[in-house]
Amino acid sequence: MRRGRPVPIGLNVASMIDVVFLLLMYFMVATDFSPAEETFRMDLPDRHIGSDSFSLKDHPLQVEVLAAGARSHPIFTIPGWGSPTGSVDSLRTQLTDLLGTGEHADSRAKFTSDHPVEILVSPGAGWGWAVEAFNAAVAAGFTSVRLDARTVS
Amino acid sequence: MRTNRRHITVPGITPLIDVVFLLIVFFVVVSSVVDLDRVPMDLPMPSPAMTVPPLERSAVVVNVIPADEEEAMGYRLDGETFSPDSDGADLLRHALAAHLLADPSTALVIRADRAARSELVLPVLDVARRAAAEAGLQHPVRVELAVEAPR
Repeated sequence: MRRGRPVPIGLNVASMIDVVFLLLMYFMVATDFSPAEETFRMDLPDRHIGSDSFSLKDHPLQVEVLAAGARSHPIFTIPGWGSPTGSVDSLRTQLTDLLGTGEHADSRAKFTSDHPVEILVSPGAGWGWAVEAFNAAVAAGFTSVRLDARTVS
Repeated sequence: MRTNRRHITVPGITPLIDVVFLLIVFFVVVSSVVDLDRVPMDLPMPSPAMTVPPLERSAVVVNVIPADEEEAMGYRLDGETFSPDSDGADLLRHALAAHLLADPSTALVIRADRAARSELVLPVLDVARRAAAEAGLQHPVRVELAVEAPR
């Protein structure tokens, strides 16, 4: 009489691996690999009520971003308050000094932190530089910073 | 006499199903679903950035669609593209005003490529201001400028 041999049993996991790889592919396609985003917040002034910024009680401190082209390095100026500079760090230092919190500031602060700051950008200047100027003003300690839709020549 | 019966073995697939579900949960947790409001572009990346995380409340996103030579192909809102001219600006204003009418606390997120010329981006601010007037808003529009999060 023949004795029954034990039949080797193997688990066929090929189909499961298929499913797993399909899931991997699906999520890789559906996953957003773009970097995370953060924002700068600002309130748009209601210009149709207040005519223009010059009628505001506090004349806004203006920061101008002047550039010949979107890829060219801009010049930052604070008309009436600072010397033109090509460095964002220098702009931030000048703004910090105007707040009276910088190293080179005199004892009397010229502006308070809630004083409005307007960023004016020349045509052709890259958006990235406009945002750099905005960032410098916020980093200096100003709390009311906004970009103006007007351009400066 | 005992008959020689074939041994039928059922593979236990329960652990495999567990693994599959664990993978699903893992990817659902760590992945963020593609957001149609985010047109791929190189956002500004100031350093050190004094940014804040985006607000959780309702916001509409206006993308300044980048093109070659620092130009813009137009503006995109809710998957719709608006041309970068006065007609497109009017249509964009109406679309924004509709959002502000539906929810006056709606914030406007502006996404633009860092190399885009500013005069293609700044008109969006004016459009937003006029949309607020059209919607009869009694308070300023909250605008958020999107930048790449610092690493």
